[in-house]
Amino acid sequence: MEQNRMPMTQWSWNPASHVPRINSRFFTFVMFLLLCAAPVIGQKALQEQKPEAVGLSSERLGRIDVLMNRMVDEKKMAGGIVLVARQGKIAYLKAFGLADHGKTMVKDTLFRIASMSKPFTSMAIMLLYEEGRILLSDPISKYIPEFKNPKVIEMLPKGQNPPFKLVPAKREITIRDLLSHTSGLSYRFLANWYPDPKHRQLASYYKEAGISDGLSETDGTIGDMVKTLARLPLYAQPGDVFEYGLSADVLGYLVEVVSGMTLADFMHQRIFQPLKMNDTYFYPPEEKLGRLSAVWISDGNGRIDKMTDGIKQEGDYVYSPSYQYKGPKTYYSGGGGLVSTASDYFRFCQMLLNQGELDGVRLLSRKTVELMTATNHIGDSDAKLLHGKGWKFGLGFAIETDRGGDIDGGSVGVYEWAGIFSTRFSIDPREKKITIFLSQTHPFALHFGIWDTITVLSNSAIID
Amino acid sequence: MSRAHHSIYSVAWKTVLLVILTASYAMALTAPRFGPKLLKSEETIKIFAYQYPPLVDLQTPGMGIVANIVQAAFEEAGVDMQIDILPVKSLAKYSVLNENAIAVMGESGLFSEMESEKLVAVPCYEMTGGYYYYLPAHQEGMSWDGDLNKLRGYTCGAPTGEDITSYENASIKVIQDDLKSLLRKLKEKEIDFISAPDTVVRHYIQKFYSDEINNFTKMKVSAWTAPFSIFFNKANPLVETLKNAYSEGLKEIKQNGKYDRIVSMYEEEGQSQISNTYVSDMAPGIVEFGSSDTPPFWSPTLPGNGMAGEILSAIFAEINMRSRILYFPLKRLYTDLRNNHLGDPDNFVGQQFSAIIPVALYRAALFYYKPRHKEGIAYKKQEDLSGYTIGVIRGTLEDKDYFDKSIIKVTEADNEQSLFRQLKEGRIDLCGIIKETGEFTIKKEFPGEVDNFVPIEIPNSFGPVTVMIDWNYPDGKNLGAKIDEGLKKIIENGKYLQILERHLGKGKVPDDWFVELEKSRMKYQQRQKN
Repeated sequence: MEQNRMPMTQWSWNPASHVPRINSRFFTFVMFLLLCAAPVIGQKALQEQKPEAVGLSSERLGRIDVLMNRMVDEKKMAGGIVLVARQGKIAYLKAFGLADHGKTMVKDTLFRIASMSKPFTSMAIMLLYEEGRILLSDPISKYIPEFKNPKVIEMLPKGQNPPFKLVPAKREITIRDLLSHTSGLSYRFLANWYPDPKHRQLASYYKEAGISDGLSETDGTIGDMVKTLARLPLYAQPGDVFEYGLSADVLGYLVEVVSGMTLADFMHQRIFQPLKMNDTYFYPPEEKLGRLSAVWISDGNGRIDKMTDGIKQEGDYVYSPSYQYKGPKTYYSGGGGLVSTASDYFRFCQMLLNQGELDGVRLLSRKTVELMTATNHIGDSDAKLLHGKGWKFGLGFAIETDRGGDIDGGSVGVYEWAGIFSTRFSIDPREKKITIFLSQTHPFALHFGIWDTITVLSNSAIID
Repeated sequence: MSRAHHSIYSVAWKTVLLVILTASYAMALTAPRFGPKLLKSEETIKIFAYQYPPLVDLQTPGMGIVANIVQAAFEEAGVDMQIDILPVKSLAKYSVLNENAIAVMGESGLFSEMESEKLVAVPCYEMTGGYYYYLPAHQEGMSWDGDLNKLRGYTCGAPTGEDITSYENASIKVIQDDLKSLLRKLKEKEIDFISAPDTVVRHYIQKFYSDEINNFTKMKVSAWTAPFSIFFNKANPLVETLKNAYSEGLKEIKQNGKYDRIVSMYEEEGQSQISNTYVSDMAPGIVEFGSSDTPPFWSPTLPGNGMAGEILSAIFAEINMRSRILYFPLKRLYTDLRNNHLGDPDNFVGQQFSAIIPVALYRAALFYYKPRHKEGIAYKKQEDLSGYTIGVIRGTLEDKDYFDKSIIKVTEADNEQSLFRQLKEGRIDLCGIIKETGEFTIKKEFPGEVDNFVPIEIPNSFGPVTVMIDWNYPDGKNLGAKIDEGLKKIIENGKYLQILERHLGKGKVPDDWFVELEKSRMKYQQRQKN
């Protein structure tokens, strides 16, 4: 990719001395340009630093270039962005490949971040928590009465008809359960990943009720969906197991109920504006849609095509590349509805790494950030969905507790999550490092190897 | 919100009497022994149903046509019952087949032949159904004469679970899905026609395609009729009693006209001028009010029923009572002269109230769409509106003749969403609406274009959002005084302002709000004295 090749310069090179002699007239011209552009570059320079200044190796980070270029060449993705930051400075931020046909990927391309929206919803809840308006131990039915008296599916021995029974839940779902995905709520699409009878039965209920997973054009509001979801059975007893699901969507509606604002307005006023995240939306304004990357379908074997607009269905997975700009645009999914950029997401991550503060603006207290990112809330369960042994779950993030498992984030205490259109982020409090990978590739399964390698390359770049 | 509790008569006496009368007959059969233990259940009878708007629907007043009929029939028979509306059919079926629920309401075909043997069905409403097509896709029209072979070669959309053998036999390709999706596919020309119950499909068209109701056309000959029934669980010991009670009650309400009134209430063009929209629940401590869906003030889709809904709840909490809001279309609300209401008293001409308490305020505004009027629209006097077309909500237009004579054209729309869509499309130049409702709708429907819809506040147009107690409501004057006292308390303790700021924004409550509210309060107090 031309943009990533070393730029041509007007230097004349004396091989004997190995000191470049710069053409003086060109030098004057360049200096003139630099002075004119000083405010812009100066602003950028505050954020982007040479890797060595923050204990990272440029050469080793360069291996990310090799990886990403190869992934693009092999058509495992059409394009992507990687950002590595340390000690509050962006040390590596590069764009690769295409965002769309005829459109190069650039650093401020917009991405559908899907489940990487969940940490924002968690944060919205914790803002209300810090104001004393909710407690994590509150039953959700206190605010959304439809959740009262939940029932749970229990499978029966083979041969029974029906093959399950519904039993009363032993206790109500709490807000903490929702934040840590131990509520018993699931996702319809999980029946594709875990096609056991229980997931399939739950998926059939969700389908029958028209429950949206928040990844496609959806009529109505999040409140409509949540009130319906509330009366469907749970996958498991509240508090018992880590079951990834629609909990964050319920939390998004909870934010609306408690604050009296739509989730979009709340996030905009309380999170995006204070953090100067100017490119993060549920539904980007029309003038920014040109920066939204297309979603691409790769077969992993050398073929890649742009996904067409409209709702797609693969088994129980219902999704669409166009829900940010088509359809009624009235549905604010706290679990998967946001669009963002690498630098916006970096600002959010840096705020967390700074224990709740960024550029002098404090959003959360250190104690709350600890509760979210450094505290296990799922007991003996493991965060199995994307990680497995050695990973637990906080309030919106998987947290590494043991580096001896198959998936290593680099340090005990690393916390991270992902989005189903192949986006990832990871925050390492010990190394004060943030790694972000954004692409828009389907299927999600293809990205694991890429991300695991990026994680290794990012960690391997540490040289202090 | 999913339970309706009708308890006009004391449960114990009526139910026991009914059961004793039937017990002697029942004991001659294979029925269990009826006795006080069995009969004196503290639990209210619960009948399950599933969302099937508008027949059974949490969002429809009275919970829907059939729910309303069933409640009315049991009420007539003096039976205390609740309807529990579940989100899906399969859960409703499960409740009666596996949890020994006493009954479930549903369509014919809900149960298999084997399952039906465990149940006894009592029809409560007859559904008619037809074939609907999308006119822009078939401009020449589509028709059939009762013979499906006339539709050979077309693609039909049929609801999931419907028996499609007859279509297949006529070489008609069938796509099955839920009705909402079928309507979308019809509009997107993926299918040629759909099979749907008339009442239900009209409801969906009104809800999702209100701008092009006439494009969804029914083929002339009706396709089918089928009952919507209560399916009683034979295994439940109370079934015979309840079945008989229901049948008697249903017969009674058909004879006394209540059945027809309920059905006509939900029809598209209401036949009755005075709609007995509901009968206030006289249960102690619960006061019912009728309202239109007017966000952000009153709306079943908003937390706490909206801003004024939250104020109402706070007032009632303060006076240790409970309130309930039922929602109706505006036109129907304004012709109901017998019940408590929420809104602007000036719209309830002909009804007397023992108390009117303003709890909030609204402002009227005209909105225009900036991209179509780049130079803006100025309004200082009525003449400034000459030549423009103004849209208003159906039911709010006063004196249509006056506007017909002037050169201000006025059209009516069914709801706020339709009004603003017409504004954006340029079919109207302005829309007249409550400013707060307009802003709410714009934010919801056009979140990326909020600044394109410009409000022109109509000066001195503060209007009251009130609680109105009907003249005939027992002890209405005292109730009114209590509500007034409750309002004062929540203003004093700050709860009122908190609610306002939550909805209008911190620091955005108009400066003269409390002055205007007090003025309004005094005006209606004076009116009542007189």
